[in-house]
Amino acid sequence: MDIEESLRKKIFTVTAELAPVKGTDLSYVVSEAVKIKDKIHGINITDNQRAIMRSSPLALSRLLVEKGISPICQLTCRDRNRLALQSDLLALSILGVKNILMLTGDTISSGDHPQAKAVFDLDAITLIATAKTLISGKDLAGKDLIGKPNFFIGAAVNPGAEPKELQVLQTVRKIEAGAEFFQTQLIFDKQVLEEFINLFEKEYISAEKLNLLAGIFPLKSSKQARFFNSKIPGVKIPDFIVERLESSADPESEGIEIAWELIKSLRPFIRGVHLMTMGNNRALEKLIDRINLEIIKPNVSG
Amino acid sequence: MIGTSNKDIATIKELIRPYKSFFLIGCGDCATVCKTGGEDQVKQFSGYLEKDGKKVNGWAVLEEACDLRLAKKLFREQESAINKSEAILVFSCGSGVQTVAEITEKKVLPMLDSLFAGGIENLSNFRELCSVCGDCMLDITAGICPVTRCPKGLVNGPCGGSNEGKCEENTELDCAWYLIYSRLKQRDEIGGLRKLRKIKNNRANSKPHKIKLQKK
Repeated sequence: MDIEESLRKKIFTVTAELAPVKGTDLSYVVSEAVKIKDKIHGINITDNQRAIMRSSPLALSRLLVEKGISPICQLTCRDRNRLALQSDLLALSILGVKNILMLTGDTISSGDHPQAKAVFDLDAITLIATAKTLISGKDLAGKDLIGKPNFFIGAAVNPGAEPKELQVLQTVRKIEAGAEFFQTQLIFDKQVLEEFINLFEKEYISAEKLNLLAGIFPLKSSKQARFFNSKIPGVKIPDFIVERLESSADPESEGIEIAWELIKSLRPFIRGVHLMTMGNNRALEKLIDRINLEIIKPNVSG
Repeated sequence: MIGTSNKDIATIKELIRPYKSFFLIGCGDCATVCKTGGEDQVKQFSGYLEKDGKKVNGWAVLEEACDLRLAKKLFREQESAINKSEAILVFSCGSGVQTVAEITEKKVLPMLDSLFAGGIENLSNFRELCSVCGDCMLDITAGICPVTRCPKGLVNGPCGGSNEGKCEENTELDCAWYLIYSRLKQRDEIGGLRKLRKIKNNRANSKPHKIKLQKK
């Protein structure tokens, strides 16, 4: 079952994330995806994340489709103009990819090609609108398409970013442009998400529209927690979590436990989780298994 | 005002190395304000060249180096000194360098890098304000240009890296869209921002531009 279906059926939805390789050998990444394919509803494929050049997410997405796995192909506006973005969206549909995540894109200067030209001809909001235009059978020039794509369109949200009203505004603009589900930046504190959702519902519409998957990362150490707090905008790891990791004899396992407790506490506010485990496969498999065992199989909805 | 900076000294040494005699041209407008191409800077560089054993046949500061008429006038008046020179060093933005280069066969060398179109905060502080994009949206953005002041040039921002009013690319930089949002909120104009879905007209910025005033 893929993410569109699991969200429609109100099943607690789980997605993971994989990066394509800097090179042509995708065999390891594909095998990792195959291992978890029956336990999750979708796998995000990142697009030159953090402006570090890697093989195009179109290629890895297609390889996953061939293995019966449902990719969620990310596309950013940093490396492509509106022609290339439309071309790649059409190509994704041709390659059998339906689920897409439309992003603005990390800054060029943070990557390994800092002198490259940053495009930003479109941004997340107008890229979402572009995908909707293509679905309707036309391109941005108003010309008719020979064969229309069909997409399930996702976007990103950062509930911890301040001011929250501005994040809420951007989220509403994305929904009104056509976004159908959202994955959040990493959440470590239930209160952060709760405040965002309360404000969203107060200002605009029911949070049902968000189809929200909380971004979850199992921390490995207190040092890592402090690093995240200082480096990732909008990420706030509460002191008590840092202390738990610091005082634990096995901080990695403690981190997984903390992530699981967080997932349980977030359940009233979310439709599922987006596990960004960044290569920590042990944590990924433990969390996926626990979610399947204790949330999905008992048939309790998100 | 066009903001310029001096090329680094190693680059300049390399540029002038093959030549023994020079004529120097500065600019009395932007480069004077930036202290990169005014009379003081041109004289100082002239002194440096002579200490280095090079010959300086003359120098001048054009009122505006990008004015073809003034450049032609200078070349008439200083014909002899310029003819004796192996290279002409121009201390102005790229427009001035190209204006001079157009009217001579001599080697013309740029001494500055042109950085931005901007404003003067005070005589020591200049900031980039306008990207000269040809598709002005300052009416919608409360007078703050996101094309220029957002490092990604976003027209529907902010992006996911904006936090506490600062930019992810440079945390000392204010997020332009946070500034725009704050001002629109103050004026009760947020509704317009919610509806905004701008797609940039890049054709308005296709180069090279030309303006021809119609004679009435």
